[in-house]
Amino acid sequence: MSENHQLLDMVLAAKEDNSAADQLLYQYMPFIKSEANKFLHKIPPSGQDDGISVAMCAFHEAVLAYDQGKGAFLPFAATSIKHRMIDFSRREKRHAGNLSLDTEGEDERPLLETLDGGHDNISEHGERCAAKAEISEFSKTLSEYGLTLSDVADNCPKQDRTFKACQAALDAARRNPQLFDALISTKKLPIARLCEYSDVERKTLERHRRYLMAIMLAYTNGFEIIRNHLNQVYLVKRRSR
Amino acid sequence: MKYLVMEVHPGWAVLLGADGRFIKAVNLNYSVGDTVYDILPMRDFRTRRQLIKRALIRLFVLICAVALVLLLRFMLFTTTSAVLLDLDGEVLIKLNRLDYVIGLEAHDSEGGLLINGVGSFGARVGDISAQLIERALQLGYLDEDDKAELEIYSDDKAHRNKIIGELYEQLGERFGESVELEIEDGDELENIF
Repeated sequence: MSENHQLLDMVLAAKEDNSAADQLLYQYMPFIKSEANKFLHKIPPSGQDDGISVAMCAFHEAVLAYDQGKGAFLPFAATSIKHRMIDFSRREKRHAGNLSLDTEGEDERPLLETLDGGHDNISEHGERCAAKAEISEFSKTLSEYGLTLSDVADNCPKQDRTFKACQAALDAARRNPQLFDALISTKKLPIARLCEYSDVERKTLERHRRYLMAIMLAYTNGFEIIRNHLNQVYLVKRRSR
Repeated sequence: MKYLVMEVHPGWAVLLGADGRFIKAVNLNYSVGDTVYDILPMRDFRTRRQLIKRALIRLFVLICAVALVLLLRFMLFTTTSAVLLDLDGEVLIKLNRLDYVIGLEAHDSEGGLLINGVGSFGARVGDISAQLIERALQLGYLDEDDKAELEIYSDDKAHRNKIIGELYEQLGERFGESVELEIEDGDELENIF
């Protein structure tokens, strides 16, 4: 009984705190693997199987969706994993004819390592390291504004209409660089001026304030890689206009 | 769509799409800084809960709006009392629950001429009655010997008496001795319609 209470406390803490969620997930890895293996019908090599990743994510989804009215947590999580694994199996069946790059070849090396992708692996590694460093810096900058990447993802508009409205506000910010200065100097989103320049409803901007702040910060100096990543679609859109 | 891996957790990762969307997805062995294409987005239960909450709020607002419309209709546009004026032309003044005039109805051709061009909606019953009496005097329907007869109809007797009192006071003050007034307690409303 006390174990159930302890688990409940951990789940409730994990709902609010990502590190508590990660800890809970590590603690229940054997449970997650056993639930996943009911569908995978094989023992996956540790840490390499997409199926296990899907089951881990399903466990996290169960943590977020759980409330006490839904009964005991573990059966609830098992159902969540089951549904996710069924969806994943269906998806995998669609790619059944394809060979995974993780499959081991004749020399027991993954196919990915034996193929020549025409890329310069060393420069790719360098780019990845640079991206990692820049993202770490971006994450630090966000924390100075009281934001986390997870919060920003939760605050990102889901509906197309709202997303377009936010993009219109961000376009207005790009045309008026003084808005970036205002954001940096006050550490607050200049909502009134964004409304004025973009004709987007104040309510919409307030609702997605954290997302807008994050993207505006990405457009300030120092985040070249993130900005280039975002500009790919932005430039295509501008050219097509 | 191209995604940049921004943050990784054991089960999930935060990705930034090239379109500018941040998205949580299954962490298929990603590392921060990777560029990925084929992703498995996380199911957003909080959004589903928010959608349900928003739908419930919308339903509540809709119910309130309908209730407000019905209440306004009941308070403003439903006839709950009436005054029948006989000024050698019969006119029925319909009143709402707040005793404001919501319509005039002529019961004969002279009554039709009396109400022609009289704007009544939202006026007080005393003002409209006085206006119609003045028009009747101008048009010659009422002479000095004639009486202006008024009958009050309502389902509530106390309310009928209240209107009688108010009309005697207002019309008496306005016309004094020049017009003889006879204001009677009519009957329940259904007897006039």
